[in-house]
Amino acid sequence: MRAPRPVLAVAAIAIAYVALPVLGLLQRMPWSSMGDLLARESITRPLLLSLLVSGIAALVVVILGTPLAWTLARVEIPGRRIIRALVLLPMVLPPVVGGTALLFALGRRGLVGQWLDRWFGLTLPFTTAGAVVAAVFVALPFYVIAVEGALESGSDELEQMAGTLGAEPMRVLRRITLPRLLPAMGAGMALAWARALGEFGATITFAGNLPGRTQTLPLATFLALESDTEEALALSLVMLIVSLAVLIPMRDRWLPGRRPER
Amino acid sequence: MSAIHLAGTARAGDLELDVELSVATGETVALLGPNGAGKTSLLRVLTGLLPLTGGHLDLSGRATDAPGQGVFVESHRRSIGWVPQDRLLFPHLTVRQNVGFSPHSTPELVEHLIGSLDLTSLADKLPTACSGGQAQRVAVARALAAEPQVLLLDEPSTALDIDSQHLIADLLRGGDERATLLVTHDPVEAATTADRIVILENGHVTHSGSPVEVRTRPRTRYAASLAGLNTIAAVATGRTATTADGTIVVLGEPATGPVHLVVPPVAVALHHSVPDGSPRNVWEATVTELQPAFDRVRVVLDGPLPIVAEVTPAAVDVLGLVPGAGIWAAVKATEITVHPA
Amino acid sequence: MRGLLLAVLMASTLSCGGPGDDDLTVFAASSLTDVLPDLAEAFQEQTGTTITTVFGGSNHLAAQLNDGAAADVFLTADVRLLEQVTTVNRSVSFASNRLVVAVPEGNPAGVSSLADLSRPDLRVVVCDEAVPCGASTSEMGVTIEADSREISVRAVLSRLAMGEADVGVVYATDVTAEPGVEPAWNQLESCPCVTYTAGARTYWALPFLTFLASPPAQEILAGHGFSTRTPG
Repeated sequence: MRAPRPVLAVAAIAIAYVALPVLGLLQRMPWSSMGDLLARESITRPLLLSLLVSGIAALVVVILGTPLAWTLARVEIPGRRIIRALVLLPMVLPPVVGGTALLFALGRRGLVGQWLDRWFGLTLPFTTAGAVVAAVFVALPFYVIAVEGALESGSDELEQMAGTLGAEPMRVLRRITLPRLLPAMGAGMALAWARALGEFGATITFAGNLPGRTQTLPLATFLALESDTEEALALSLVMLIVSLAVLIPMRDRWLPGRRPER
Repeated sequence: MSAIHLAGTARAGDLELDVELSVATGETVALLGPNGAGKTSLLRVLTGLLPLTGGHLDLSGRATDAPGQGVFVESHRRSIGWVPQDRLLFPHLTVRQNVGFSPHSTPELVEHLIGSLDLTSLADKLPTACSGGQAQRVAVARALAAEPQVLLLDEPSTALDIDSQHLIADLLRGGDERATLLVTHDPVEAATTADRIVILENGHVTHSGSPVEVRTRPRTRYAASLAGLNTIAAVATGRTATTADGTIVVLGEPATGPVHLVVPPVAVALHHSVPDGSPRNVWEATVTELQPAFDRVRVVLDGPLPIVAEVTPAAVDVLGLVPGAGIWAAVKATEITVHPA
Repeated sequence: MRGLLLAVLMASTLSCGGPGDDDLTVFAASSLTDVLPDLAEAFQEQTGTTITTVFGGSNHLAAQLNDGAAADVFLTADVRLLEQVTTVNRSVSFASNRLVVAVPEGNPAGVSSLADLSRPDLRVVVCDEAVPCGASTSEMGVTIEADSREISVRAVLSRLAMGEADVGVVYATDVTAEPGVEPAWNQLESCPCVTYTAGARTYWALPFLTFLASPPAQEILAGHGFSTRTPG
């Protein structure tokens, strides 16, 4: 279809809007010293920690988010709308506010945290696990939206059919619902992972900042901006590359619902 | 023993279903009815996808749905095989995986069904590779693989090639241990495959009997139209009835109020000139169309009483029947059956 | 209508200082959050000039200034930053702040000496070295087993106040300002400490610099826990 010119023109502006800051960043990069920079521990350590934290967070998000999305889409529970709004809250909440809320809930003197500390000696702030908790908190809504959207738009007639053939609910879920849901789950997981990777406010407020334990790439970049611009740029490059590595495989779909119809 | 015994009510959107239906093991019942009569909803009640609002349903003698006693057996615990109109094959599974999906199926039975329905070459392909007829066979095989006690088929022959129809029909004929309920709008299919016909109109069963019975003694307008009979709407006042056009028809039996007059096409006698004798209803008509039907010809007539007559091809020649020709038509009052509207 | 009027008023107060303008914009390090309003009030009583304050991490404020933010005065503890912000033409050191080893109210972990900062079983929180308070902390010459290096001294203070940290290093002024935090033990006045310098970026900011070094301002500063120095 031939697109009308005004549409293309505005689209070009939108692309430029996004591309220009990236170009600005690339243009300032100290390419000559990049090799040495990237080998520095102050860069490799936050990178590895970020991959670990965001990777674990992505898995936790899938494990927690899939049953949640399924329940919201398929089960008639009272107050469904309120629950849905609650689940999406971390998306609109400023991350620092989220982090502070997590402290009040899971910190050493927090609502639940105090019992975790007293009974199990378990504390989350200042630990890598705490960084994962913060990342899951902000990334979960992205996954739930993606998967619930797919479940809502698809009908459940195939699942009904499977039921009449004698398959009980868990079997229907395993053999019919989940396999058809995989594309949406993949897209949702990628989005959640990207969000977890870039998470800053909640992480630093809840988990703190310590190299090797809680200092993820965004934290390291922020601090590097204060002291060593070259290192900050190198860290930014690393973040850019990792983000693209996650997003480019998604090039055929942003959100579920665009999987090829069978 | 009844495989299906239903006496209950259900609600589907605006339609209120109120049905009494029994199907014995080994019996094949054809369910006929106009669009929106509730045929698909009835199937959904039997499969457990639409709960009853009152009454009860027993399958194979076991209480399955009884809202009054709080009984409801889930779909997956009923022994039913369902082949819906749109088949609903699982698109991400191969044909063989589809057929063998039910936990009650065995690999041997699956292979046997695949063979009987000529699906061997498609067994490892996905449903997208199947034509309409092939997909229908897969759906039937899948339902039968579960060895259900009740088989529900919704419009099984729609858009089906002859070979597929035959293969399926052959397979269904051997169903002595199960009851089959077949939804169709084709009276010929109903007559040829079913032991009994049940007509569903507006959520209610209006007729239940052998195909011959339904055809010769239709009780409702719809049933009559199935048999190819003329139905005319009129308002009766005693021995006569007046149609919407104002034509007065003499009746054989007295009636009052809005009625449907049923006239078999063969009862419409055609004459060159005004006939004398006993027929009370005589009028001059114009031929609008001739429809050959096997060894007869249906003559569509326009005039004070639009009607369809049925004559032999020889009569067509003798009477000079061509579209546009004028002809005298006569119907004996005793040949008209009156149904309250 | 009232909304429009309010908007116009606010817009006028945000204008940068100009000849005859009764308003100064001051960028200040966040550790001055508590004392600056009092100083501004006193200054206004004295001269009639109002002060608009913008608080933040010194590094960020310096970056904004370099990008062209319109501020008349920059108050920071990091002299290097002042040197980087190109338009400064006058500066004066007006106060200093010493570091204190602090604990949550009641000292629940029983911290009693500098050595406790290296105990692995305690939750120790300090400023990151990239911020001035962190640079000073490392000059204390103590091995610190930190569980977190926060990006601002306020964040450290918040950890202590919430009871998430057992011990931390903050400014004396922070301890004064925050009731939920107290010094771990009676610590003598001593440095290393952090010196605050005011840098003027416009000529009409000079009166404020003079004010900062004057006795009334010094008194206010002392009241908040700052150590005062003679202007030099």
